[in-house]
Amino acid sequence: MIGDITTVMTKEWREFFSSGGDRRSGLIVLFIIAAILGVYLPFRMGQPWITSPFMVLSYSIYLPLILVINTIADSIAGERERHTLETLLASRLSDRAIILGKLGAVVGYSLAFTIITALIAMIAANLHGDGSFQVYPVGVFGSIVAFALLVSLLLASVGVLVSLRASSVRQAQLAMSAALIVVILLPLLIYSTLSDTARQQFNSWIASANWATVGEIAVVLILIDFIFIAVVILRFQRSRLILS
Amino acid sequence: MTEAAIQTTDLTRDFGRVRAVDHLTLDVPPGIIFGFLGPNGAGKTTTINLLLGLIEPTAGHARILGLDPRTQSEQIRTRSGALLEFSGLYERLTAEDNLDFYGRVWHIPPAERQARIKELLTHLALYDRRRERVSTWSRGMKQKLAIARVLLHRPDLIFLDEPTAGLDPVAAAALRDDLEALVQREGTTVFLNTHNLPEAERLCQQVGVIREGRLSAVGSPDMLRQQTGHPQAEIVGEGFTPEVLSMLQARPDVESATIQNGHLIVNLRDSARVAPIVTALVGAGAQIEEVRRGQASLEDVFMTLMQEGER
Repeated sequence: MIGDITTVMTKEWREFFSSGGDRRSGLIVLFIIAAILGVYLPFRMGQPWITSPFMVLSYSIYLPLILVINTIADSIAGERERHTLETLLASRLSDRAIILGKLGAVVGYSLAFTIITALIAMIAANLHGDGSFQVYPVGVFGSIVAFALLVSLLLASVGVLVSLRASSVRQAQLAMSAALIVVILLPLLIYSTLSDTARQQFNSWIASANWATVGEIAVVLILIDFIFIAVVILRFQRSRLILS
Repeated sequence: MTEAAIQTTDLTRDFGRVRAVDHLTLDVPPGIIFGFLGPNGAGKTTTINLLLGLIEPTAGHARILGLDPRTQSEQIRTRSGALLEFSGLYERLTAEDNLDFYGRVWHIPPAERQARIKELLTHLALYDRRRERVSTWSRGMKQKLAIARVLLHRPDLIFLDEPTAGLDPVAAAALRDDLEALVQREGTTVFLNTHNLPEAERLCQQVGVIREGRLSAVGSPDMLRQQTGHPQAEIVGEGFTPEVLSMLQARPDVESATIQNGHLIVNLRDSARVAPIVTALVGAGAQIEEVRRGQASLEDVFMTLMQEGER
């Protein structure tokens, strides 16, 4: 099973990195974002970047969000559109190996890209420093990695569900982009509608957030991830896909 | 006794009110190329999906390589290969990467995988182009590569769904040659879905004809010709006017008379003789240059079975 999942993951990565056309333009967008979050902003802010809340938010939520949405739409809808899904389903691979391989490929890619960007950012931030070389506190960096993983897993699962229903990659991408806009704008919108008191309470809650709070959020995310992965496994069925 | 590669009993599949496969009972012995003939929408692809365990039957049962598709579909897919409606190749990848991926899927050890890829691609004259992206290849080359993918893990049984559809005649003939040679060499059983009758006539030791989900006939092409096809006379000459054709069709010893490529094709009833027909033609003013007597082609058999089904 693990070997089969790895085989699917390797194939997905090979396909992703040997693609041209539309995918290449997608990669350019990703590199621009990585250049902003990995070089420009850290270089401008200097060493304070290493401990800024914006840095944590960028690497644990926004970067995985962009990375996953850019790739997951292709996972099922793309195979269906290019008429390769039927052949894959007619192979000896189990349903679980196929879908977990696809999820693993996207999550692995997102996580690797996020970690590399964060490490480059650390170097860039130190270029504008006091001469000493500051590194991310271990707990902060661990949280970034853990949250990037959990958020990527959640988004990839949602993406697979969207991709399973979409008739084309374009449709899946549109649905995922709409979701992206909602995810980015909704918190800001809610925040802007809060009363001054509520806003102050929220800010102080953020400021007083300790490791226990971070842990609680992580546990909630893990539970949500498990639920979504279970739904994905239940929905990804050979017979259903062949008939669709 | 050798176990059948494919054995179905009353296999049935409904999609809502539509019965796609209707009480299909079939025995395909191992080591042969079995042609499954039928027009579009006859139930050929649904049958392959049922045999591979990709969909469940509504009724009936099947044994594929001695395994039950309802409960042992993974084992069936492990021991078989399938080239479905589309080649299923990853066009962004190279030919070698495509085969390497499926070699890993079938757990072929690395050294053996590389050797097998080389062997198959060399046989298909594609080895020198193995590092090219498949997207740059012609449809004929892609189909050849798809055949290589299907045979990669030395399956006991392969399913081919219209493998030469959409190919030009030269590419189709080349693919047929390659397929025939590879299958003979590997001793694989082939279940070939096709509506290309000359292809079936050339490749298949046995054929089954399906129409609206029902099996109309099954047997060797020769047997079907004898059972279903009429003896035939092909007459080369001039003066085959509509009146002459009407005169022939009115005769009790003639089943039908048609003009094909300028030749008069007369389907004879049972053991009718050709000489009286030639005499009648000459009497009606036709000029005869050559007369050939023969059996109906598989295409004639197929058309007869389709017409019988419509009645």
